Amino acid sequence: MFNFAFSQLALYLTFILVFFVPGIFLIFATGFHKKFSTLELFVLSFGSSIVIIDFLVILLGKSPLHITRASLFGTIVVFSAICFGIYRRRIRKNTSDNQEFKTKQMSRRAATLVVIILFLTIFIKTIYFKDAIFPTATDLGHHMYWTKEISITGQLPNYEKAEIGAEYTIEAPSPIADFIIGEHLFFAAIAIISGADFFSSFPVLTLFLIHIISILSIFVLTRAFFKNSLHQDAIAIITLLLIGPLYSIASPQAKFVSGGVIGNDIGNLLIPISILLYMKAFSEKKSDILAYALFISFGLAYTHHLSTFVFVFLSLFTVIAYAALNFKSVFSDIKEWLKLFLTREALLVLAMGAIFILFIYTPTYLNASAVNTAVGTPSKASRAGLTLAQLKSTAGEARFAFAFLGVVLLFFAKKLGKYNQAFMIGWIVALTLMSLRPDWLLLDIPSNRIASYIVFPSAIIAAYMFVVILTALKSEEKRRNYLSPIFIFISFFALSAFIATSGLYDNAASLNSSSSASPALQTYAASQYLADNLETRDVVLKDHNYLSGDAWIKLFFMKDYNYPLSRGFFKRYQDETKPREQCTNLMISIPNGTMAQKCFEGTGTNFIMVDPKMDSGQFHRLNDFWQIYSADAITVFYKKS
Amino acid sequence: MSNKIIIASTCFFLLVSFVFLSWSERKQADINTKNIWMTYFENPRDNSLDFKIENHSTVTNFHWQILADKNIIKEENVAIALDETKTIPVSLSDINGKKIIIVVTAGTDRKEIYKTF
Repeated sequence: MFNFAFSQLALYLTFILVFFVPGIFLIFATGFHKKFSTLELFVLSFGSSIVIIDFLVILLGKSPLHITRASLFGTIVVFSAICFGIYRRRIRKNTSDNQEFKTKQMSRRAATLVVIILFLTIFIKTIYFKDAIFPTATDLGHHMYWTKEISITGQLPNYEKAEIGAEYTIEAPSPIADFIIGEHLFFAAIAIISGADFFSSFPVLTLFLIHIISILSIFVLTRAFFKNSLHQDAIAIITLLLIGPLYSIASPQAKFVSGGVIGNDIGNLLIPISILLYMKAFSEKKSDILAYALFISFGLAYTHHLSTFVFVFLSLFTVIAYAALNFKSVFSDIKEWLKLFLTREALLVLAMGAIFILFIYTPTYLNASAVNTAVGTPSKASRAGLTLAQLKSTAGEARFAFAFLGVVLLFFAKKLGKYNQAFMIGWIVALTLMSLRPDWLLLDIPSNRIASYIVFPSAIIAAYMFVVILTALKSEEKRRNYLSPIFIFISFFALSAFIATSGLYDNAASLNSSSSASPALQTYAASQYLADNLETRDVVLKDHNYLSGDAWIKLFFMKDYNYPLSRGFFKRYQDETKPREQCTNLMISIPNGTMAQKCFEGTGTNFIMVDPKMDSGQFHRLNDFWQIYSADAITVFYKKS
Repeated sequence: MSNKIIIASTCFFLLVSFVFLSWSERKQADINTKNIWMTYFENPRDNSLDFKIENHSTVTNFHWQILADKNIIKEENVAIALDETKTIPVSLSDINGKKIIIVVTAGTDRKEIYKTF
């Protein structure tokens, strides 16, 4: 009990140290605490901290110092102290803008509603996580391998893996472009500082925290979008409802958290924060806020390539939307934008970003082959775009219906603010086109992954449409209703029922039936047994189709990202676009086959972990395999040499 | 003020949720609550037939048999408490050319491991 309490305390204090302290000090040093509301600062400090930690840990990894608890703690303290020094200097000089930020205060009733919705949001997600908290998810396992590598070696990881080559042998490790360092650095910082075990709740709790702050970031962004509207709070609250308790579990919400889709989770936090900052920078013509926005954008680029890609496209479409909506002033506005970019603060961040990318650490995806895999004519059916029905299902039926009408209405909206309008339109149009017609934009990325990003803008625009429908039935000026109050009342409940039914049905359909901890624990026990008995030359092969938690097996060995070798999903072995290695499939499916024998010989595979109910029969029939480990959910065979 | 209430409430809700989930995960991670047991060779690669029974179930009475080419050559009962692992030493002679199977049963549950010589 004491150990549990202590580990919990250590974890939560580490969350504060890693996720809030650096961001808060940076905000004070830059004087932004006077330019944003408290809730905005809360969200910004969190997002900034992730970016700061990424850059600090990269610098630590590149320095002679190792990434250890002491060096991490010291670096955060030194960074915060420097920021505090700058803050004190600003106060002494009194050069900063002394005006406190004034924002439209939320009413007590609105705040109460927000608190209730947040309670429901966290409650529903907690119910879902109860059976998904035990670490078994494939993606999370892959990411935790790299995180553990950082914590063991104290150095930045080399994203490489050893694959089986054409000669059936395991080749020298080659680079992987799929992993971005920013997905692992803050996890490593938390694990190292708190001492949290990788096989614990800490990875999912960390992502849960990020997810809830991303929902709050959408709330503050919605308030910023509609700051000129009389219904600012109503729209923001309905948005919160549409991304909080409703559609709470399906991707990219709780499912992405428990599944360990780290990049998307962080992208869904940093994209709204970036939009908020760029919008404020351009509308208020503040170069320091633009510099801050650029800093967050660099952080996004170091965290997730797909989110960065989405952000680039939404920026592009925002510019197009802005030009279309403000045709007369666009050229003079471009001059203003250039002036903002050519200020000392913005140029400093751009220069630092360029130095970081060119000389300190280049993100793994910034190489020609990785770029080529994402750009061009869609190479697979899964990249050729979704149908409208599929997009509707991804966005959520009610959200999609309202957002569809809302986009049309947005084009004709007045008094919203030209940047607000352009960002909203640019955001949703970019994602719609990227999801439905990637060939128009020469995108070669899985369409369903892009479509998952549409949830947030569609929730905002759907909430806007919902409020517009209800308020349009009432004359604001004359304070009288065009329709009978009872009809408005019924309309409100009919529309609410449509949204609630759609959102809650989505939740129900996504709930787990039970925890998968028992089979995963057996996998981990067998892995520990092998780890205790392995010699350097041994090669392990495991099955991904039927074993639970198999992606986490590699954390017991820590030899290579591809160790143990893995039999992947069967469909992966039938890829018409490129030849796939077949050894991992054949060595389990037909172990006595000629090809499989070549594979055993070439790769040196001598331990095989499979599900006893699905894959033991073929080994029982062969005399050169020993069954050395037996449990209900896993069995291990040893191939005699 | 409203913003501060929202932040404080969010932090409180998250803290309660995190503690609950951590506690829940701790219980799920306790292999002794899963009613499972496993058996394995002490040394997977040499000719030794010593094996272990690792018990995480409520069953405590185990029965093991050693079969050489399907003939029972040795059997015994063993009591293993929850969260206990017992090593069963096995010494056999004249095993060349034979498949030695170790069958462990606990109630209706049966598991086997083997080596072929």
